[in-house]
Amino acid sequence: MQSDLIKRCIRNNRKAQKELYEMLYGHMLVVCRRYARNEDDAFEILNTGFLKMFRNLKKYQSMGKGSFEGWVKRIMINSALDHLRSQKSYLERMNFDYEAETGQETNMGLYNLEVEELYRMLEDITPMSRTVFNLYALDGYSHKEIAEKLGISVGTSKWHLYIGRQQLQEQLRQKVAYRAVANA
Amino acid sequence: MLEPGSDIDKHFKDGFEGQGDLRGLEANWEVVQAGLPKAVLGSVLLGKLIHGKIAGVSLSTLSVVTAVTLTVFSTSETPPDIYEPLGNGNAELSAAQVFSDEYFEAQAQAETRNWLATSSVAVSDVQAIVLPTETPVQATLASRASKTPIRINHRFRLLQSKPFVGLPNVYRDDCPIMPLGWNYSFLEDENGFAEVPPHVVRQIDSAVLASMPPAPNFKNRLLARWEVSFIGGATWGKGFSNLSTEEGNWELSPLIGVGLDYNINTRLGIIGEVHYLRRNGNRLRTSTTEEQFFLRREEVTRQVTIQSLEYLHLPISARYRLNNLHSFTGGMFTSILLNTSSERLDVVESNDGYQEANLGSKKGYMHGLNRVSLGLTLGYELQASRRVAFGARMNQGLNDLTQESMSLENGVNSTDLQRDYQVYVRLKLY
Repeated sequence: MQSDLIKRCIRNNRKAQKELYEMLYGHMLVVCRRYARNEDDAFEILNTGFLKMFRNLKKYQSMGKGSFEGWVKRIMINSALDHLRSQKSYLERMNFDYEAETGQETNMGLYNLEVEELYRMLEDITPMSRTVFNLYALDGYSHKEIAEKLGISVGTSKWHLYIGRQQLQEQLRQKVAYRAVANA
Repeated sequence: MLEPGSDIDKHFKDGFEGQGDLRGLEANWEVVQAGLPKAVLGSVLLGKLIHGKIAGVSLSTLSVVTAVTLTVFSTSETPPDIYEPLGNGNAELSAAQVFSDEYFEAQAQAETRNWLATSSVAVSDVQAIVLPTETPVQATLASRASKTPIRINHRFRLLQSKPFVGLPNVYRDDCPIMPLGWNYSFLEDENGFAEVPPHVVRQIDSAVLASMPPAPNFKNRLLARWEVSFIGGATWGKGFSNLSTEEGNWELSPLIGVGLDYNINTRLGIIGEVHYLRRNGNRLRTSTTEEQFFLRREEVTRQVTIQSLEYLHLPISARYRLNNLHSFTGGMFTSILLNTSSERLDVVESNDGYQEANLGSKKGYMHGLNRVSLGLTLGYELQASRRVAFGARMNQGLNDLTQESMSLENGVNSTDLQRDYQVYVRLKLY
């Protein structure tokens, strides 16, 4: 079914392309949104990714193996990384402040954040930490792969993950505290 | 208690698991659709290039296949009558419109080239492009203008000190992007000169555009590539000597001059410079002897020791900018000898004995010196700010500065090649 759809897309059948687009859109937007600093950026990344996908469907077909959705997701992630790279000065403004651990742990079981809140939390951490956190924690890349993709060292990748987690944990802690006050 | 790292990972993973977001599906589909094969920009441009309607076209390899860098330098045909002037104001065009055949056809035919300024635009990223001033194409397409909201922020600022190479019609972060003419951009960031790579245009501010100066003519476009700078510094060089037993000294000498840069693109440039260069520490000694017999014998030997040489130093180099900060130069120089400064000593031997008379220093003794010399130059520059750069370079002469005919003491000849090291400050004036 999917294979037939892809073939029709390669033949530039606009209806099929739309169908495939709609099929993937929701999930891929979530992926892009995770990497982007805001919704507009996510749309940019998404559109770029979809264009790449449609352009390279033939390549996917010739490879013949692997999950289609996984392939598209990789395209989206690469688009997101391209986007990030294109904003070089943005990256350069990253905060490399080695702060000590807060030492507080958060019982996240108490708190169920909506997806939008998760987006916002990711938006609030530094771009590189967000990217590394996404790649490592959510998309299953190893530090070595991340280092290659982002042109950084494995150590830096680990550090960004650590900082990203710290920042997210701090945000969670604040939200829990806020909720507790509100409920009281 | 929970372990922070893995729990946060899990929390986010679970949070996003199975989530889908269909917001903006239709709007984004329109953008994607505009970039799909039916409206492939590359082939349209290529077709035009083949038919000679567009003089200069370069396709960039941005992540999106439809990203294009278009450079238009000359068009000769007048616009078709079907287009009417729009009057003052700007039109916003959707990506689909901008990348349409009609748009490019009209660009190729329009006599007014203002708005033909190069744009590196990814169709997927462009929500609208603003066309400045009145143009025939604008009139045609304005009626279909989209209503894209404007959002801008600051990242680059424009080099105001020089005319634009092309009229900006695409903006990024509040600044016009003008890679007109060999894909060259005149934007700078806080570090000074900045290249603008094929970029993403998100939204465009027509208000900013309206305040921009009009497009320069072709002459100004060329002028915009030139830079004039003042150069001041020091030369550290070893003077030369025609005495095998006597070495020239390493001495510092002043260096002062002006430079003229022509930027071919953001990385490559050509620099021509004119310096006044003084080479101290020489011990070029020559002497002439005269014998007189009038009542008594008297032999007068005039010894001239050339201490310093003054040159008009004319290096011409190619510059390669590694990035905003570092650049390397390499090229050739010509030195034209302007003057010398020499110490004079008369030694008189007569029947009365031996007498020395120091005549002090004097300028202008040029005998035995080559007026023109050639050499190689190799250097490095650090761009400290937008206007100031620090540089260092080495000059190595290729031909002898002294002539074979020069009257040498001790009968020893040597090869006197210029070699010196320069440190300087370059101050950009224009």
